[in-house]
Amino acid sequence: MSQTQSAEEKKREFEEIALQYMEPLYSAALRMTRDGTAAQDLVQDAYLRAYRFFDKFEKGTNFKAWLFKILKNVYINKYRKQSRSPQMVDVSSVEMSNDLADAMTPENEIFDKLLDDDITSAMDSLPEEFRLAIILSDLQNFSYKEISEILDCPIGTVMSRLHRGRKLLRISLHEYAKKRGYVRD
Amino acid sequence: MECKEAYRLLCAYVDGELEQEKIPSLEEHLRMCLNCSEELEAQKAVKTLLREQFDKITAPKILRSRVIFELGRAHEYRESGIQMLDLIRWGTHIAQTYRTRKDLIEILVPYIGKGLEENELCVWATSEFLQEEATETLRKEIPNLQKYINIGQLQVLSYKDWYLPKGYFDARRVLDGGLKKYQEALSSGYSGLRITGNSSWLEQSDWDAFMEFENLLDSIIDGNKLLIMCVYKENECTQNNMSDIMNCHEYVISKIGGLWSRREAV
Repeated sequence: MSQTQSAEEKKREFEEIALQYMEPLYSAALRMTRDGTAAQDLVQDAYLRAYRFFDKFEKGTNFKAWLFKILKNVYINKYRKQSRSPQMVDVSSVEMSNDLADAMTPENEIFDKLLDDDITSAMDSLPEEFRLAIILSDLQNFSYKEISEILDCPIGTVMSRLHRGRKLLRISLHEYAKKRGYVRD
Repeated sequence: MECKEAYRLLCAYVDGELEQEKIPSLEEHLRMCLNCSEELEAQKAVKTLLREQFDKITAPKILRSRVIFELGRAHEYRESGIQMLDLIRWGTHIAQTYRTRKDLIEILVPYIGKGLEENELCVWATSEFLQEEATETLRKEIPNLQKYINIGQLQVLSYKDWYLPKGYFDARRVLDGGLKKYQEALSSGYSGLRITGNSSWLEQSDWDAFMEFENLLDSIIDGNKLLIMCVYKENECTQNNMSDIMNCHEYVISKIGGLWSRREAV
């Protein structure tokens, strides 16, 4: 077999396996970069990087998780530092207690009323490490084990980032609801 | 089970990740405790909200064809060695601006190191460092450097030899020198030519001529197995100089607020 044929075959095989994940990759990339153009660039870069390493992918293992790990790495290395700074959130205020929930109007009632933009802004203003965990869990349905591999951190850390991230998100959503007059102080 | 313990387990429970043996006692607690069961509903609601909100997002149609197109020319992509550039295509013309020597080598060393690893002929026309200093700087960071020097894959040249061979700057002459080096790279079996040239020797009187040279480079680099990184010292550049640099390079890499950042030409 000539080298050109085998390169062509490699490309075909890669496209067949990899391109089906374009939608979830883009959706995750958009929440990582918070910018449509950068998200497209990030997805393209992740595919090129994955194609370059395709020989190193162990067949039979989780291809989607492998692709997402590459996406995350390219994001961290190439895109993160130049993205606009996230809105600062005082992480220390997010305690692992449920005091806050007691004082809040039930979520179901207010979530229906919130605007799409409010939800997107609340999500996008989360500190990055929480946002990444939430993207992988709630938007992409990865298991804790898969997330711990993608983010290179222990499962306990994944859990704590998810817990704290969702808590912050709820605080933020309540702020939007308050601003719009759906709940009282 | 205490509320505190139940609360700690709720996140994993909502995600379907709680160990089987812990589920019965948690569920029993949830049946008894209004606070915790409300908290459970709230956590579920956030998850559902996010899924509904972001499931609506679809990738622009153009993205698929764009990715397929780039995969078709994946062989033209090279490891830049520079974190915020990652893979770059042959024919990429980059500028680095720097304030200190440390900043200069933070980018330059991995750029050259990667070129050597990728079987490219690497040329560094140095001006901030003397030739020996430049070589020693690389030696500290790149394993087996001497091997690359011995076989001629790494060539550290003085700016005088590269930019001013006749004692003055002549764009055409420098370009001819570069093209000769490119032919040398290809005929010696290297995958291409990776150059970095430092222009801290440049006087303001030569600036316009140098920018013409940069624009010329920009027009010939495309389609060739060439990577060029032009390096400028920030405190020797005026505001206008900086915008000229921006205009004739695809990427400009600079340290802003202590962090390296990449700006792309419009």
